[in-house]
Amino acid sequence: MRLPVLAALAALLLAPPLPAQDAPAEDAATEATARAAMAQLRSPVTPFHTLDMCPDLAAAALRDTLRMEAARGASVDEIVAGTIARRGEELRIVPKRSGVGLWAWIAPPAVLLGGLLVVGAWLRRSRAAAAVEPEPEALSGDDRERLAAALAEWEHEPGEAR
Amino acid sequence: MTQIGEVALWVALLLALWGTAAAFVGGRIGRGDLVLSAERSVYGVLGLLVVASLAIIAAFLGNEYRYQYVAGYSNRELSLFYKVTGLWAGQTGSLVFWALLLALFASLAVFQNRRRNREFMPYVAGTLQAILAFFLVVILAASNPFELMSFTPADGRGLNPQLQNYWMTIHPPTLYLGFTAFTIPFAFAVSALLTGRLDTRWITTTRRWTLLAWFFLTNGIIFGMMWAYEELGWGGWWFWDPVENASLLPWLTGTAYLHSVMIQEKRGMLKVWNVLLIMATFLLSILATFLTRSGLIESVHSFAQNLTIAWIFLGFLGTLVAVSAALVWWRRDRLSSEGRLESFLSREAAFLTNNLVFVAAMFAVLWGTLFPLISEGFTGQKIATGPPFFDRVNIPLGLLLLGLMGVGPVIAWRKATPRNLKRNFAVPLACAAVVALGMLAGGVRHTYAVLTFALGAFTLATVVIEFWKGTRARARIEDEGALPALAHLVGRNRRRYGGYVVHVGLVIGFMGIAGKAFYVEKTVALTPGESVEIASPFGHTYRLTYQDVSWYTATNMTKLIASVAVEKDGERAGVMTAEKRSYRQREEVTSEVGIRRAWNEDLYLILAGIDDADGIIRGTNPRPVVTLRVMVNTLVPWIWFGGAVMAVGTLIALWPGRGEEPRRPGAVVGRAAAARPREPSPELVEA
Repeated sequence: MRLPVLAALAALLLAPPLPAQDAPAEDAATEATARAAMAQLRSPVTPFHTLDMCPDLAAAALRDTLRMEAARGASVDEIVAGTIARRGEELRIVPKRSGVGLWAWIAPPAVLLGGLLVVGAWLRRSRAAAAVEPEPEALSGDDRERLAAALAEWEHEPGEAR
Repeated sequence: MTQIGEVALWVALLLALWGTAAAFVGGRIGRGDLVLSAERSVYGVLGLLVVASLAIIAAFLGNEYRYQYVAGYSNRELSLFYKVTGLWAGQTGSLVFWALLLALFASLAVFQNRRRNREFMPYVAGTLQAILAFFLVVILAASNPFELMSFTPADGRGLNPQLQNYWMTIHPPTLYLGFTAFTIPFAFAVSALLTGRLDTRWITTTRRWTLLAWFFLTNGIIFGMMWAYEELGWGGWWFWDPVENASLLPWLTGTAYLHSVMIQEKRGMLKVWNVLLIMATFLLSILATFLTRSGLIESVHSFAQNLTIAWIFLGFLGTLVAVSAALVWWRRDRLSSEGRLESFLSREAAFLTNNLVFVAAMFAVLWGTLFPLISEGFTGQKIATGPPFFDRVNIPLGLLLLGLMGVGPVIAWRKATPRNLKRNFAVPLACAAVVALGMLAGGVRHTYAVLTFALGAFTLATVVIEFWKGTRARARIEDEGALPALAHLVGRNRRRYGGYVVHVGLVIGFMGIAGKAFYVEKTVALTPGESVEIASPFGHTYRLTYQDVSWYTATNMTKLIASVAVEKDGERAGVMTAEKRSYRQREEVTSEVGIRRAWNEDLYLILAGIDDADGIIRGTNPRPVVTLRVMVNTLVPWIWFGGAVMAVGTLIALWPGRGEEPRRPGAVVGRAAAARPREPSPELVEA
C-alpha cells in the first residue's frame, strides 16, 4: 500500500499544479459578465483554448483579474478591450470590424451574395432564351382532360421517385 | 514481423505506382491485360497495407520502444485496448490507417465493378492507385512508422491522456472512413471526365458510395462532438477548432452534392456544378487530413508538427486542384445543361439555393480557419478567429438551411403555382407561427432559438405531411392498413423517405443546438457538506451537496475524485463524481466530468479546482475546498438523438430495395472491356 501512495504523491508533485484560486465571483451577474468576456478571449497559456476553458493556473489568475473588473462594473466589451490593450492582440479571437479584420467578416456574405447574383443571372438568361422559343400549340380539350387525370394520378401515386 | 511491415510499405508503393501507370496506359491504348493487372494491384496494395498495419499493432503490443512511433504513443502501463488503437493514435500511424481504409474501399469498388462500368474502371483504378501512391510516399518519406530511435528507451511516453477515451477510439476511424469513401465518387468523376461519359451514369454508379461516405463522415463528426463533450471538460461539444472545422468542410460540400445530383438526374442540369462539388469534397477531405496532420494551424488536435508533410500535402493539393480544373475546362462543352431554370419558385431553384448556402457555409468555415494564416501572410499580424466569430457567421446560414430543408422536397419542379405553394406550405407555415408565438408568449426572447424552433416546426410539418399523404394514398389504392402502407411506402422509395428521416434527425439536432440559448451555469467554491442549487429551464431544481474528495492510483494515472450528492426537486437522485487525473508518463493533468443525463437536459459537473491537492494525498488537507462548475445543458441529448435518427435515415436510403431504382442493362463497352467476358444477362449498374 505504501508504494502506490508514494507513487501517487510523486506523480502529483511532478504534475503541473492544479488551479487553486479561480473561485467564482460572489455575485452571479458579475460572474456571468466575467464568463462572457472570458469566452471572447484566447488563453495566453494554451493558444487553442479560450480563457474560460483553459485548465492552466496562469489562465486562472487572469480569470480572477477579469472577475475583479466585472465586479467594478465594467461591461463585457470593456473587459475584452481592456485585456487586449494590456496583454496584446494575440488574445483577440473575434476579429475587429475594421482594417484587415474586416475582411474576415465581409468575405463569407460576399460569396453568398455573389452566388445568388450568378443564379439570378442564369434565371434571367434562361427566361430570355425561353421567350424566343416558339409557343407550344395550345392543348385541346381532350389533351387537357388526359393531362389532368395523369397529374392527379401522379400526385397520389405512392412511392413515386421525385 | 515489424521488419516485414516496412518492407510491405515499400512493395506497396512500387505496386501502387505500377497500378497507376498500367491503368492509365492500359485505358488509353486499350490494353485490357494492363487494366486487369492494375486492378489486381489494388488488391495487392490492400494486402500489403494490412501486413504493415498488423506490424505496427504488433510493435505496440510487444512494447517495441526502439520505434519512435511506439515510444511516442505508448508505454508499458497503457491498456491493451489503447495499444491496439495506437495504430491511429498519432500522425504516422493514422496516415497508414488512412491508406489502409482507402485501399479497402478501392478494392471493394474494383471488385464490385469487375463486370460492369468497364469503360470507367481503367481511370478509376488509376486514380485510386495514384492517391494511394501519394500517401505511401508521404509515409515512407516523411512519417515512417518504423523509424528507429537513436537508442531504445526502457518505456514509452504514453498516449495523450485526452485520447484515452472510448470515443477517441471510434471517432477517428469513422471520420477516416468518411474521408476515404469520398475518394470513390471522385475517382469515378475523374474517369467520367477522361472518358467523356458525362451523363448521369457515374452519378448513379457512385450514389451508394456517396451516401456511405456521408454516413461515416456524419457519424464521425458526431462521435467527435461526444468526445469533446465528455473529455475536454468545458461543457461544450463544438469549439470551431481548426480540425473540427476541417471535418465539417467536406461534409458541407458532400451534403450539397447529395442534393444537387437529384437535379441532374431529373432535369439534366448542374453537370459542371456536380463534378466540381464532388471534386471539392474530395479535395477538402485531403485538406482536412493535411490540417490534422501538418500542425500548421494551432489546434487541440495538433499533437505534432511536421512541415515536411505540410509541404508534400500542399504540393499534392495544388496538383489535384490544377488537374481537376483542367479536366473540367477540357470537357466544358459536354457539361452543358440540358434543362433550364424556369422560375425562382421551383424545386430546382430551392435546391440550388440550398447548395449556395452549403457552399457559402463551407467558405465561411474555411475562410475563418485559414484567416489567421492569411492575415499573417499579408500583414505580418496573425488575426485569430474563435468560436464567437464562427457562431456569428454560420448561425444565419444554418437557419437558412433549416428553412430550405422544408421547402426543397415539396415545392413543385419547374415552376410552383400559387395553388401548389398554398397546398404545400399553408399548414407548415401555420405550425411555425404557432411555435414562434408560443415561445414568445412563454417568455423566450432569444431570437435564434425562436427562429430555430419555428423553422424546425415548419420543416417537420412538411415531412409529416409527406409521409401522411403518401401513406393515405397507398392505403387507399392498395387497400392496406396504415402501418403496412407506411412500411411499403418507405420500402418502395428508400432514398426519398430515408432522406426525409435524415431531415427529421437534422431538425432535432438543430433544436438540440439551439438549446444552448437556455444553458444555466454556476461556479462555486465549496467545503465538504456545503450545497449549491441550480434551477433548470424545465422547472427542475437540482441541489448538489459536496461530500468529499477521494483519491487512488490506477494503471497509468492517479485520480482525485470529488463526490457530490444530487437531489432533484427535493428527492435523492444519486451521487455524481468529477475527477482530476494526473497521468504519470505524460505528466499531464486532465479533467473528467460528471454527467447526469435526462431526455431533455444534462446536469454537467466539472471539478474546476482543488485547494491544496498535494495536502489531500499527504493527509494534511482533511477538508479540501473544491471549485465546482455546475451546468444544466438544455437539450444536449437531442443532438445525439438527432444524430442517431440521421444515421437511421441514411441507412434506409442506403439499403438496397426491389423496385427502388430504374434498372438498366449492364454496359460493357470501350476498348478496355476486352479483358472481361460479356455478361450473360443484364444487371443493375448501380453500385
